[in-house]
Amino acid sequence: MEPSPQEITQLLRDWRNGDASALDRLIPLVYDELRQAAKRLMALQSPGHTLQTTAVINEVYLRLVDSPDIEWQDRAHFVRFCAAVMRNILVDHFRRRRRQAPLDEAEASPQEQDISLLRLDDALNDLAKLDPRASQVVNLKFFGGLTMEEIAGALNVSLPTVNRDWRRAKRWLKAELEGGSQQ
Amino acid sequence: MTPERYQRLQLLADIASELEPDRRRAYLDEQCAGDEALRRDVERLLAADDRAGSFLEKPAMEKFAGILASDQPQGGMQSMILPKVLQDRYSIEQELGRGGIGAVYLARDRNLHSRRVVIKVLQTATDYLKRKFHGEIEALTRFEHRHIVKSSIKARSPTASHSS
Repeated sequence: MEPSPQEITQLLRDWRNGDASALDRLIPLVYDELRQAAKRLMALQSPGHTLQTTAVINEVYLRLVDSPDIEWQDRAHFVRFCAAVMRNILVDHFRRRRRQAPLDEAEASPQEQDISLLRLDDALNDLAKLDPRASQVVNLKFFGGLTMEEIAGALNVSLPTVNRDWRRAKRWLKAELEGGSQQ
Repeated sequence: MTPERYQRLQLLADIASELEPDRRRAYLDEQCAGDEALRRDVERLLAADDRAGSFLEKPAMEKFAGILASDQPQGGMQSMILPKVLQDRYSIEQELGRGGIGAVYLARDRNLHSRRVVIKVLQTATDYLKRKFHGEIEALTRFEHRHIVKSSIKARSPTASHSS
């Protein structure tokens, strides 16, 4: 059983307004719900099918914030939060296992096999200092599974801006992961 | 690298990537005149651009769904489940079960030679459920039987109540 939708909405609002402690209270709720939703959806799927991020996040959202009077701004905010939690879970997982996870085995050139989620996390933290919005776009797209249009809505910027940020972030991260840091 | 330098680099790469090779060279010669490091960094971004392909295009969830579904709350996650007062003393080993009101975890008590304990976490905070939970803890303290768990500690966190 979860806290009431009103409570969650209020916590999300508090977080948006800069109350960091609201985040602490939200994380355990969402972490658990994400795991449960992933488990449920995976059980429903035939083997070989991949899990859609949006499906998982939607399910979490419906369970936690099933209230008709929640504004889009809050939902966008919620998805942003889920993406951050996703990143947190995965980084935490790989740190624990002390092993490196290839990002994409399909494009397995020797260099790319070496690319790991933990190194991506580090590079993203660096990028956040140089270009916060571009790093946010990566969070939403890669960890949150949003489309470019949804990201534009969530960040309240135009679609061309999101496309440009994404391209900049990708080549920056690619260069960082392939060959050490730039001065 | 400063944010200003980063912006300049990316802007040069944006513009250069739209130009034919000859014009691109001329453009970078002009813009990076006297700054070899800038030229090198822009070239590096442009090369990465060409190779980026499907890099990061597939959402993390699709690749790591299994991890998410099977991840056990431990290590870093412990801090999200247990309030600070319990974190130092107990380490969660696995989730034993969950119901409508809360979840039960198997844990070790570091203060008592890793004795095994169960921790019940109340996941909702209505006054009624809190009263019921405290009543349950209260009742447990009155019993002494090998088939009934003994209540040893209770604690509160912003989102959950705990008893072990």
